[in-house]
Amino acid sequence: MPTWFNAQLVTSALTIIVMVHVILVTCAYLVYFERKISAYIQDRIGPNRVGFDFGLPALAFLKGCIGLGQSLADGIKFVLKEDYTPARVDKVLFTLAPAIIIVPALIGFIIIPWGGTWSGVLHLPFMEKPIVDAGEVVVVGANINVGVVYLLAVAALGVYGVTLGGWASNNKFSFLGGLRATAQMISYEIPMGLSILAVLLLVGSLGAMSIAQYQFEHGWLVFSQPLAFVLFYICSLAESNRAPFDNAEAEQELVGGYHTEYSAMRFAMFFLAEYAHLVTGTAFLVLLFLGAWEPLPFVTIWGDEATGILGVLAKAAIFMGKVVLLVCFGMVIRWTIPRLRYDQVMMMAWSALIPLSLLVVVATSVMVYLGKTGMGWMLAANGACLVLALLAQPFMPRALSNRRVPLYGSRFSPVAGEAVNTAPTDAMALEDRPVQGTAALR
Amino acid sequence: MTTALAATDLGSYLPIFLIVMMAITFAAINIGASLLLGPRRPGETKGGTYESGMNPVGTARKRFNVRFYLIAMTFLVFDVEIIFLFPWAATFSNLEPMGENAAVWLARIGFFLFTTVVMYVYGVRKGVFKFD
Amino acid sequence: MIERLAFLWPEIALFITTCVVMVVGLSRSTGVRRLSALITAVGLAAALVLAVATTPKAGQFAPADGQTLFPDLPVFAKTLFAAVGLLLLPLLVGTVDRDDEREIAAGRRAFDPLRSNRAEFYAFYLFSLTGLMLCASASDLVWLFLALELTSLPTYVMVAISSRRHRAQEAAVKYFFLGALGAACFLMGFAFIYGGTGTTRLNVIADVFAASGINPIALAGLVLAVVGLAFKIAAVPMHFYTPDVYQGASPSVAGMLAFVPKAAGFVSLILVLGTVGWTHGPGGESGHSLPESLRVILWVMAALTMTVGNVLALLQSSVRRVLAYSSVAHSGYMLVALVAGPGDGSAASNGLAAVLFYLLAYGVMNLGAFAVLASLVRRNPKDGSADEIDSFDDLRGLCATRPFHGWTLVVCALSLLGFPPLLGFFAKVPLFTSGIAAGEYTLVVILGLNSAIAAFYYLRLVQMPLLEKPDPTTPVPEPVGVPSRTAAGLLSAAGAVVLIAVAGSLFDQAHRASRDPRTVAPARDAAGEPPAAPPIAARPE
Repeated sequence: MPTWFNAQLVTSALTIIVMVHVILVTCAYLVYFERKISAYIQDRIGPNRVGFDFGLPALAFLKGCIGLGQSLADGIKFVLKEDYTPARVDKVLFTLAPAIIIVPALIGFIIIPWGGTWSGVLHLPFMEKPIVDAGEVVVVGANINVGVVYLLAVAALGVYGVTLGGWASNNKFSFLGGLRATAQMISYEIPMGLSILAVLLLVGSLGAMSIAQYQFEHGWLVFSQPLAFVLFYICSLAESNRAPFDNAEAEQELVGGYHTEYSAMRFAMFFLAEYAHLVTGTAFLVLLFLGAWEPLPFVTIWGDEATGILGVLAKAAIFMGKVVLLVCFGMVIRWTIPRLRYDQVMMMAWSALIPLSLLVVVATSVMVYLGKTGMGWMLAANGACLVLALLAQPFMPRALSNRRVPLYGSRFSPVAGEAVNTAPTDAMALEDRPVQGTAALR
Repeated sequence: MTTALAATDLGSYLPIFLIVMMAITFAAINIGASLLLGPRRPGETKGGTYESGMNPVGTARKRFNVRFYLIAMTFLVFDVEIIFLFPWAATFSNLEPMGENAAVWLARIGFFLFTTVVMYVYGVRKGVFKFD
Repeated sequence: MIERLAFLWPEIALFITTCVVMVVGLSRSTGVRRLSALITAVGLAAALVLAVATTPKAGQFAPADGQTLFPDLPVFAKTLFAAVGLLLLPLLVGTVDRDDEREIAAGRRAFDPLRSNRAEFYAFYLFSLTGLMLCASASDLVWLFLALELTSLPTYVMVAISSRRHRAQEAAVKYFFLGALGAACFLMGFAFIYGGTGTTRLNVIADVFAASGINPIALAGLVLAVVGLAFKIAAVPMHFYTPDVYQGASPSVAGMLAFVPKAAGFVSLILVLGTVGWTHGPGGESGHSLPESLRVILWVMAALTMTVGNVLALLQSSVRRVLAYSSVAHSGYMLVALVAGPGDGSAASNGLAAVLFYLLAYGVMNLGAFAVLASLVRRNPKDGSADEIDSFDDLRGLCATRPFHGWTLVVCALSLLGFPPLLGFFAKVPLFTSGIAAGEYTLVVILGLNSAIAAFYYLRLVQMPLLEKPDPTTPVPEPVGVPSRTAAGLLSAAGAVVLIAVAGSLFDQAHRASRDPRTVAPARDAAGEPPAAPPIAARPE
């Protein structure tokens, strides 16, 4: 048997097959969560009708289910709708773009060690001998030692699908949306990479497991690198092109952005990729900053010790639970904060996040050089960075135009001293009469 | 422990091949199924480009704002820099703190970052980061 | 590793100046923007001082820190580059943004940093010089390649922004693509050399060649490298871009192009050929020469470059194209000395010293010719538009109408021709002596013939301003409004005269810089001082 065919490979393959399905189902239900959360935030009820009865009398008891069947129904609907290709699009790229965006979204998660180390022993309680005893393995899709670089590289590929989708549609709105999304994604990739760098400087390795190990020994990195955590979180929100950074598909400006012309499953691919990116990005965040599978900070329960299969399942569940909680937090942000204007989004990346993340990297490297990488020292360094950033803030480039200018007659920013009358003034508006030309319709 | 976990052989990259195949299959099946199962009712107006109900004027294959190029170029500078910094970050903390080796590497990377900062300041002065 | 920094202080000074200029040149205040030329000058002066004061000389550094093929080359070359760079600066002043600045000063337009090119222009000039100096201190093929690219990449942009005409952009694109071809060529060559020797360090390559001969792969690499570097020096297989680029770019930038890439090319050629050494086979009286295949290639290149450059220069009506072709021809002259090599240790037989000294002389005197073209415009009487002077007719009677410019041109043209009492003569003599010493008699004859051909067009450049009467029907060329260019021209003409006084000691310096330690039998005393150059009289006849 070749040397590469070993217990780790089998575990990896199994993990991948299981996790792909877990993630796809999670994505489907995240859509449901999103609709529910947005509904509650907007004082609505949200999906609450579709159950799993499929209209069959025999399954009538599955009716309702607080709308949990909605995701399944949506999925079936996407497949059965007309997949329309407009006449003027670039046919090949138009079909290729959704595939190109879903592939990087689905292959990124494999470096995440969902279940930590498994003892490799599967021992059912009613059996004499363990049915599997393969030695210690890591429950991870691919146990590679450049995990972080792999994830960054794959995440960066997502931009191609967006660009191609916008370009292939041959639609001005799509094209603009694609351009905006591209510019935004590449802009936020820089502070993202730099904040990861700040973490790696402390960890001293590119492997996913080493990052987890470091946190078990030295405490969660969110406490020693809070600035990097915030930067990374903002960037991961912006990378996934979601509100408040969803300029690529700003409805008021660009209809639907780069997927305006898409329908049916090809549209669903864009949709799914967005959520898959979200899950992968958040899992990465949990791995980098929030102690991977440990439920509580400062308390190490499992650490990187090998555990049995139940321990692995518990660890994976906690990991996934953290991810879902964080994603739901992102949804709350999405439905609470209004969309930033495009220039504000770009300004934020280039004149706030990038300098700040550079500062954090420099401060971290100096601390590493001094050998003071304890949590207290790092917190002090982060505080110093924050103070420096606040001091430098007035000197950073800022938008000189596009600010709110006092306008005659405006009730939002009136000219100083002007009395604004907001009541209708037009004679026609004051008159109560039916709209002209509607008489014929009656 | 660490050595057992840090797999270095190429065999550990095999799962990536597996997942890429799975992802491609997933995309192909989904898009294919939708194309096969969905109805087909093409129409002239339906096939037109949707621009909020207006008849589209010209194509979308046009020149666009040069700002996007500027961002792309600036991004390249930063991105290449970050890629160079990764190996350094992974090894820097393993050097002896305050040692001569660490000082040399800190100085080198400091110079490297300094060049980027100069580029950044230049970009700011040049107006690359004006998006309004 | 840190010790290698000792070589880099001038480069560091230039780089810091670049950073400052890049930011200062984009200031909103006109006064601050004006400072960028001054800051550039200060940086260059600092680099000049640092090059003289800090560059390690032979025996002051370990072989791991620098190349020991020509241990004294960096100090001479860097000083030369900084000095000529300082001289070129007043010529470059005012190349970009002059019209825009005038409009801004008049209040017709607001300052728009995106449209302003001033910061980039000076920054790129400094970058180019930084690369040039890095070439001189290169101890490694990778270093050499990066330095060469740092030298040439900014020049492409400088050509493009030097003028608002489309011709400049066309020239820049042409220059860039051919430059990329050249770069690909010598990079391929370097890769082959690495493949043939297993190292990129020049010292080690030389040791490998000395120990086990030159294998075919390395030889192919050397040939490719030489051909690729021919682009930088505008030698024959790669000379096609020269006239178009020199004519398309503004004359000031053309003046820079005639020196900076050429110097980079020749220094690199000396270093690359230095790994082989001029110690192979029979080569006239000194008994040594390059390996036969390399010698033949360089021989043919030299002969063709001289002849093509001079003959084509005869046919031109545009002064800038004449100067461009003459620049090709001058590269051919220098290649003769490169074929001859470092000779037997005497100054007169040292062809590399001849190359270095000729670079200095060429840099100084060629600058004057371009400065004259750059500092005068011909105003069109119909619409009042100003046009750069470019034809021989524009120079008619210049000594009478614009004496400063006219006499500058006369002196520089005579010097470029190699007219006896001027600098060009003293620069050309070592080319002949080294060629004769190496036994390249045919090549020396071709060199002599070519000097005679060159007299035709150079004497036209003398005759037009000096002997012809100004044409009363056409208006007199006007100064362009950048006095520093006239000053640069005068300095250059003065240099062509004054430097004669110190030509001997300068040539001794060049001789010291380019001695090949392996042929000179290094007999160093304890202090590491190199032995004094043997007197010319001691040369074996």
